[in-house]
Amino acid sequence: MTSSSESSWVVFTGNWMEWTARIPGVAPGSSWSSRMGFLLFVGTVLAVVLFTVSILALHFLNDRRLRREKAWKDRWLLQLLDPRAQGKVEPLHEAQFIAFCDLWSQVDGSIRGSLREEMIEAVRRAGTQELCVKFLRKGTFREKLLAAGLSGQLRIRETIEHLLPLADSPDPALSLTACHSILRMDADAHFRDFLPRLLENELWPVAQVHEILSEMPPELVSSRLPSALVEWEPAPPARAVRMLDLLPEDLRAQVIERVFRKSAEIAPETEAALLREIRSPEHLPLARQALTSSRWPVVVAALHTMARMGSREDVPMLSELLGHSEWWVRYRSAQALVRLPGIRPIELELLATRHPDRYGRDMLRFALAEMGMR
Amino acid sequence: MNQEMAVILVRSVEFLFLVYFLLLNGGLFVLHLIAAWSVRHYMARHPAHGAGIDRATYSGFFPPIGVIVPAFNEEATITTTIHSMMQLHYPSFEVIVVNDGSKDRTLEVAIEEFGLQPFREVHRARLATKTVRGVYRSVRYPNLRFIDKENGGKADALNAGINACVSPLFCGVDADSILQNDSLTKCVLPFLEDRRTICAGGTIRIANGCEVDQGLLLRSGLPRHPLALLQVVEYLRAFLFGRLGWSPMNGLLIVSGAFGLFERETVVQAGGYSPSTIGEDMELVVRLHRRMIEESRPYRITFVPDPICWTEAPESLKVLGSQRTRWQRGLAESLWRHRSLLFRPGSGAVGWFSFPYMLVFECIEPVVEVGGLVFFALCVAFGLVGWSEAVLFLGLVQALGMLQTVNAVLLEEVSYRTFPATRQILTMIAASVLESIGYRQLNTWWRLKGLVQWATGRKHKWGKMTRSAAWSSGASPK
Repeated sequence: MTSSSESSWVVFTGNWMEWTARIPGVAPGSSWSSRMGFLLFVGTVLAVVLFTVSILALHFLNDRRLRREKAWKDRWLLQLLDPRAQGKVEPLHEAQFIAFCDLWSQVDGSIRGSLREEMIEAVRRAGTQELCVKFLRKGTFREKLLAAGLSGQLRIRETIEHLLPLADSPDPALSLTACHSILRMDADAHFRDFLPRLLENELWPVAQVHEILSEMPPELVSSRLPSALVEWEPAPPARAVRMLDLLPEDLRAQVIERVFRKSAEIAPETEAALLREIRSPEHLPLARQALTSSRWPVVVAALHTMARMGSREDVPMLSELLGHSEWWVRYRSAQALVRLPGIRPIELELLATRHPDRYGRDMLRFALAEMGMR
Repeated sequence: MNQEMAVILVRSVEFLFLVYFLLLNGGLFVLHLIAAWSVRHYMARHPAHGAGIDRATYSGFFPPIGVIVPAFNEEATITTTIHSMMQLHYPSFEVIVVNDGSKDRTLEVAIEEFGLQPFREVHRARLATKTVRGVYRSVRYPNLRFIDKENGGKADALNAGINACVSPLFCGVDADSILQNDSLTKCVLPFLEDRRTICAGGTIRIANGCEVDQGLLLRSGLPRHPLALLQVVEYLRAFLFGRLGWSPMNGLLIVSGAFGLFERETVVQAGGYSPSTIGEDMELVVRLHRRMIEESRPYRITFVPDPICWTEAPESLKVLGSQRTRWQRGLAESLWRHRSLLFRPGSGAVGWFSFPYMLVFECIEPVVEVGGLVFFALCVAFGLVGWSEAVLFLGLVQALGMLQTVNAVLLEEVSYRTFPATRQILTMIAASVLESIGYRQLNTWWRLKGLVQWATGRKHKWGKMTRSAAWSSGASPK
């Protein structure tokens, strides 16, 4: 029995040796390039097989991970939205932070009132406070940004000391988010310090700054903003003037008047911004006067105001501006004309036919089409 | 003696081929490693489903973007294209369609569909273009402008769009591109995260087999047509390795013309797109590199691995061949025009790595590959190399090709999982194996043709791209 198995082994190994001896790169006397080629070939084929198996394994693992993540998100959503489940909220792990922020960004802002407060309380109990502090101290840029935003949304006051240095960061997104969060948590203590930066920092988008200020207690804004604008030397920048609409009408009118009266030579951007903020008929003469300005952006801003508050008596002036050399002036004057109260379409059509300037005629026709009047 | 000399010569040439082959695959291996690292890094910062967070985090910081769509004879698709652009989720953007002297009813169809009105507009023509016949503005969509100009080619149309654009960033989009509604949000992130960024290219995927409605992607899928399927894995490899690998070292030389976001002022200063080259997209990117290096200005040209733009792949050999010939010719033209970048002191990764790599392993690779095959065939015919050795070498070439593509599928599975079904994964693995047999060789042949066309200065015929649009479920919007 033993000798028979030994002989079959000998036959097998003999055949194997004979077979392999024919393969280039293995056969005795093969050139080095053949040997190398053979090794590379075998290695590559093995790598292809290994990668294929890895793809399939990863595919199934990813499927399982996604199912778990979905289940986790569903559970969390339930804990956030159902007050009965909020008592036993599960702790949040570091690895889930970004996914949580994604989930929170979907929920936050869509829920108001007491449910929102309960939701915030539940999230705080899950350990977000520790995570936010940790990421604000040692996180990557993105983690810091997310943690800064979340700290403000959840009013985690313990993070203020970590947010203060970030508010001076050279990156505008990070510094503004940090500033926003600090103000959300403790506006009384920090509004005075941050207001000049909010009004002045050109890297912080005006729309975002406006939104932040609109979230602040109105009495705080009304007490600080007017003096900040009026005391600005020589005149406030245009971006600061755009915050005027956060003030009550009487205060706004006072600020506009005082800034106009104070500065003889205002920068055109500021003048244009002030003109756009006019809401009161008593200031309309300021806009009418600005229509004759030699600086076209000022004329355009005045035309904006005329489109809102002008009357039939302004038709001659607006029609004259239709022939202005600046395209934007022609466009805005045409828009102001078609929006004037009481003016009839037939009058505008006549003007569009008879106006001495061909560019003015074209522009008025376009404005009429824009309003659906042609 | 003659016999000995011949053997030495054959062995030397064989050695040269082997060195070239090892360097090529070694380079690809390094690119694979860099790509794997950078996709992991990118995914950690931008999770696949994190567009919502990005919108919230950078709210207010998104710069306005002008989306420039050059259109030539797009009568059948222009309304769908514009409607898809108008549905993009981005805080501030304007769509500028440039009708490049279409001979069909492109202009009339757009006038009818979008209520375009002639709009005498003044803008500075900072880039020279063919005569602009008229500017139209939609009375329904305030952020849509239509420029009608004389025919001057795609580059000329893009330049006209840049002249009309007032946003700090512009995005050149092909009229047949299919976008996702968050395409702009994703592609603008490099500009927000690194202020040195002057250009960001997006990942292009094949739209055949996908479900598309009114120009927007609803669901990804694999095409049934084998030629389109092979292009799916080919695009995976090209974008996930070829581009992602170069991006972290700022050595990216190609940003696809189908979707690329640029800083307008930098492009204008560089002279805009060049109408005299066939690969205007690559030429512009190489020129931007050259200009920034010459002026010693800090800059970044980045690649966004998120799949954000989908394009219809040709399903006929004739059209595909014409496309690949054109691409190769564009590559050769761009590299030749900016050859001063090669090993230029201070040129960093561009001059010392990516430019030489593109030249040796992309541009002249078809010559080496075809030359190698002819050489082996002759050696076998004259008995200088055995059959088995030749077969082994060819087998190795195929296996390495398969490895690259399978690796790309692996990276896709690790990152975006655009094709989540198991059947789709198996189909892609099968396509990776099949791609190396026949399709690659055909591609090499077309590329060689492109190279010959460039070398002999023969005029390229564009051919006609027939769009099946079978993937599109929605016709024109209601």
